[in-house]
Amino acid sequence: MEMLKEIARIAKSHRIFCQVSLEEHMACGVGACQGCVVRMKKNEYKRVCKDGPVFNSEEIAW
Amino acid sequence: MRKVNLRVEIAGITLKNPVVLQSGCFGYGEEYRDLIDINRVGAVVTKTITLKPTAGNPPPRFVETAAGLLNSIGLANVGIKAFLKEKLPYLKKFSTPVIVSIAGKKKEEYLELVQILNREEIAGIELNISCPNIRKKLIVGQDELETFHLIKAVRRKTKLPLLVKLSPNVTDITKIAKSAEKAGANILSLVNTFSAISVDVETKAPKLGGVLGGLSGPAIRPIALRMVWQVRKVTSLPIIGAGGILSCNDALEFIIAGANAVGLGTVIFINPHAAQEIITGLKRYLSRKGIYDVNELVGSLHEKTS
Ligand SMILES: Cc1cc2nc3c(=O)[nH]c(=O)nc-3n(C[C@H](O)[C@H](O)[C@H](O)COP(=O)(O)O)c2cc1C
Repeated sequence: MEMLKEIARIAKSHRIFCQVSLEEHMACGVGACQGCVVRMKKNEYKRVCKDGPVFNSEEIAW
Repeated sequence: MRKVNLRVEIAGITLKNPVVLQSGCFGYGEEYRDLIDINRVGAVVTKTITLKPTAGNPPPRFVETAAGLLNSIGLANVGIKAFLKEKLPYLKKFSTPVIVSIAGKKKEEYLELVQILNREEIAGIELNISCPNIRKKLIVGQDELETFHLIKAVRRKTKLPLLVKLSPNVTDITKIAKSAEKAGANILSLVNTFSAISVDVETKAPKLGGVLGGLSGPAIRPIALRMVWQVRKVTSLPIIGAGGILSCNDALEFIIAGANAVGLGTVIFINPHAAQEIITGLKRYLSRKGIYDVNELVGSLHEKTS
């Protein structure tokens, strides 16, 4: 996560579009348990298993 | 194999078999569309629904422990409005009873939720009383009186079968169970997860974003089983027993100790086919033992009196 965060920062400073593939601890893997979430800037959580795992780095609340 | 009966009736709800998918581990059902045939299980309990959409706790929300799962989801759910519009219609397509689990921050929220659900065709309402009580920093289900008053108030508002999900984080679960029965609960569902934490020794920080989590899975099974056994002795209400059930053998332990039906939670994450395997296993067991009706097994534990 820390490395991806740094890459997102570097990409942003060079105005390069960046997507990251995230990992989280998962239980169900099908979107049911709400366990593997990542916080987004719009103050909401997204599920890595179903809504991701690839996200636009600018949308993540690093 | 001899013909056996797996049908059970609890508080007027007919279950095809005594296997119930527990709250929070089955989402809203649709997520498991390709993996679990809802028509074949006894009943489903939805993720706990709150009045307003709930975002839940900061991640990480899971830690794996020895034979257990520690979670801190924080009741993340879409809220009652979106639930009725987007989630419940899917579950109602099946012939299986749907029980809606609800929770509120205070009594008024529970009452409002119940009044909304009264208009729906559902089999019952499960009160998740394991959520924080702002006023006392206790959870309702840890206090006999709070439990009594909440259930009593809800009871006045609904004719639907009322299930109450008991917390195991108490000194004497039989007291809470009796309180719930006196207040008008129809079915007792036990247990919820055990309050627990985990520490990352490198950072010296809690591993869970929400610090406190709930422990589930096989690690808690013997304790959950003991609680079902204790509660069976003090109530005649139907019991849905849960806590770490993985196999048919585990399910049988709960039934023999006094559960009328069993709840599956964490196992669904490990083996989505567990419900079906347990149902088949129950048939085999009954047939092998020459017992026709699964109801005869409930509370059939042989205890020496001395
Ligand atoms: C990820 C997760 C989410 C859960 N969410 C809820 C919930 O929303 N409401 C509830 O009453 N119980 C919830 N539970 C508790 C389960 O329904 C069940 O009572 C508990 O996990 C013990 O059973 P098990 O060991 O078979 O999982 C949750 C459990 C887990 C593991």
